[in-house]
Amino acid sequence: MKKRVLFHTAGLITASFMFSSCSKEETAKTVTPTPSLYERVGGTTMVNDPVNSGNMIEAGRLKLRAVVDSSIFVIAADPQMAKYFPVLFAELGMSNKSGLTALSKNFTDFMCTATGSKNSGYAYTGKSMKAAHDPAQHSRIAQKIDKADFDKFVGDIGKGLAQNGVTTANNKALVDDLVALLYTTQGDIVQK
Amino acid sequence: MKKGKFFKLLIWSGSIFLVVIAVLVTHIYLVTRISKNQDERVRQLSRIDFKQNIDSQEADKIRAFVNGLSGVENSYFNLDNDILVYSYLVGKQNSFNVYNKLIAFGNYKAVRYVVNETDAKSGCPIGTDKTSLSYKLAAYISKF
Ligand code: HEM
Repeated sequence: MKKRVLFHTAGLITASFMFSSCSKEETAKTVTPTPSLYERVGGTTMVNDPVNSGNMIEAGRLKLRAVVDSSIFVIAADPQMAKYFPVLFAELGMSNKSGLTALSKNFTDFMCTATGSKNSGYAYTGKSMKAAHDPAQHSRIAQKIDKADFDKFVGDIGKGLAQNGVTTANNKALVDDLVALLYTTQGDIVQK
Repeated sequence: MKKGKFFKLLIWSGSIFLVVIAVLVTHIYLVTRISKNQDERVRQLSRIDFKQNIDSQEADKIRAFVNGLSGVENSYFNLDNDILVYSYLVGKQNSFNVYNKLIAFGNYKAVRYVVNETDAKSGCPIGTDKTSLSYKLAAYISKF
């Protein structure tokens, strides 16, 4: 009897830890790193961070962060996307915490890691792409994503790129390669 | 069942219950706490939908006005759908004030975008119904 109870307790404790792990613990499942891509958006050259004066930042990360931040605005202003992002918009009176900063950081980390950054400070530590876009595993996404919305989302990131001076007109190769990189996540993200 | 066994069982289930509660409390705390990191100042996105056609010149005027309000950090105008999105520091600015100021400025036909009930329900379970027990519990725990 005693052994059985102990066994069950252990099981319950383990299970409760498993259920509580919806925030960060999952390891990143990243797309194939393409080191040259990180180099091509700016690489590891240290520059001044215009947003946090006095801090240095790698030029590659600075560029990717700017693209991510611009893209978040484009996506937020896209009526086709709104149904997925209720949490980002709803003003959580609770603790006044908006996920905007976290999303910007995580998405930037993801892009750094995916493009081949070797800086451990920029490593992506969020959910796997599959888990991040599965409403059952991530309460911040409202529903499963279909292919048409995935395409539109990538198009919105294209607009974010253009706002930061990278267009098909002036650097088609870079746009194409970044878009191709985003499409490597399609199998995990499109779940409908 | 013998008395001794009964008490043992009671103690076991009691401790298991406590452990589960402790894990839940820690979880809510970690998920909802506000970071002390300067870089993670609380920013919020809000959206205003225009019910009239806005051209790029007008959009520039709107953005310049909104960007000039205190606490507003950045904005973007989607000309295809006549939608404005802006970010601001919570506590320094709020979406009602921005909306009212903007309407007073340009007398636009526009509405403040509010997440509709069904979408909100499909998001985080503890973000919406402020009268629910789980909301109150989460709000209490996240105070620490
Ligand atoms: C194109 C490739 C995409 C990439 C690389 C990507 C990447 C990410 C990352 C890194 C996160 C943060 C995960 C975390 O915090 O653990 C995230 C969250 C999210 N993604 Fe995506 N995503 C993509 C496409 C999409 C699409 C197509 C949609 C919907 C149309 C979408 C909707 C969301 C939502 C709703 C969240 C949660 C946002 C929040 O924190 O409020 N994603 N994504």
